[in-house]
Amino acid sequence: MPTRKQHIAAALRHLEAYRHLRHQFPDWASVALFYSALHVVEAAFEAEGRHNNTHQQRELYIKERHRALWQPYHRLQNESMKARYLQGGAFSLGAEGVENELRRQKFRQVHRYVRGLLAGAQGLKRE
Amino acid sequence: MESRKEPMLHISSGSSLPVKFSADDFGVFILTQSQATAAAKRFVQGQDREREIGEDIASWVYRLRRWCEDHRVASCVVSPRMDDIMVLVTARDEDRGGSLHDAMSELDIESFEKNGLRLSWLLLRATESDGLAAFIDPATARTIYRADA
Repeated sequence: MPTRKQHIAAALRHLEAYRHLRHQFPDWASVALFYSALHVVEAAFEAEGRHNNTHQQRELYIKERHRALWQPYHRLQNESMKARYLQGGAFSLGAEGVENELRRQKFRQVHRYVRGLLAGAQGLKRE
Repeated sequence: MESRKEPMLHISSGSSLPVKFSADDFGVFILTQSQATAAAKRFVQGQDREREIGEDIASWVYRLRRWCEDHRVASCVVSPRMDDIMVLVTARDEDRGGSLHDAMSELDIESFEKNGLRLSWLLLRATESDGLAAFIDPATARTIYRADA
């Protein structure tokens, strides 16, 4: 099972990939962004002693325990799915949309939520 | 009120007396009254559950159709997959800002809370609608809503 440190390293690596891809390949940039968010989320869940091995497990856990996270996470996940599977390369969100809607809004929402979770976990540890 | 004239068998869960069953395609077999009562109880519970699931699905489909009518939706198709049901919503526009997607995610959570059905929701922007076939099986998919219908 990956440690929190490994999840954070993976999140940073995917975010770096996003920065390289976003202008020329916004579709694949959205994939990198989703996987960065996924590792950010898993890093926080690790602090709760939870490890999700599959997308399905993770989705269920978010829906049951972290509902406020679902909206931004779901959007990132869906854009990433469309980027990979839509036939004929029909993914229609451009570089600007990916940066403004996905990274600046949804990815930041995920980040903010996770920061809150981790701060809570740190607080509990100090107590 | 019509009175019941047929003789009625009384089988009790507390009894160990044998009951003889003759089934056309299974031959003759014997259970105790207690076993027969337990089997009948499971059958009735199964029927109730089936009815409940049918009602849950019918009310969910109704809610989904109403939601589509109230939002900028061009079409909504559901397609069963190996272990869940895919709900594919196609927007009438490019959903700039993502408010339709946000609303869909809220409906996803609402459905999850109400009936616990395993659903995967995906929103296609209007210009992505040609890619629908990548996610659904046309043989099993059902159209729940079409704005132009």
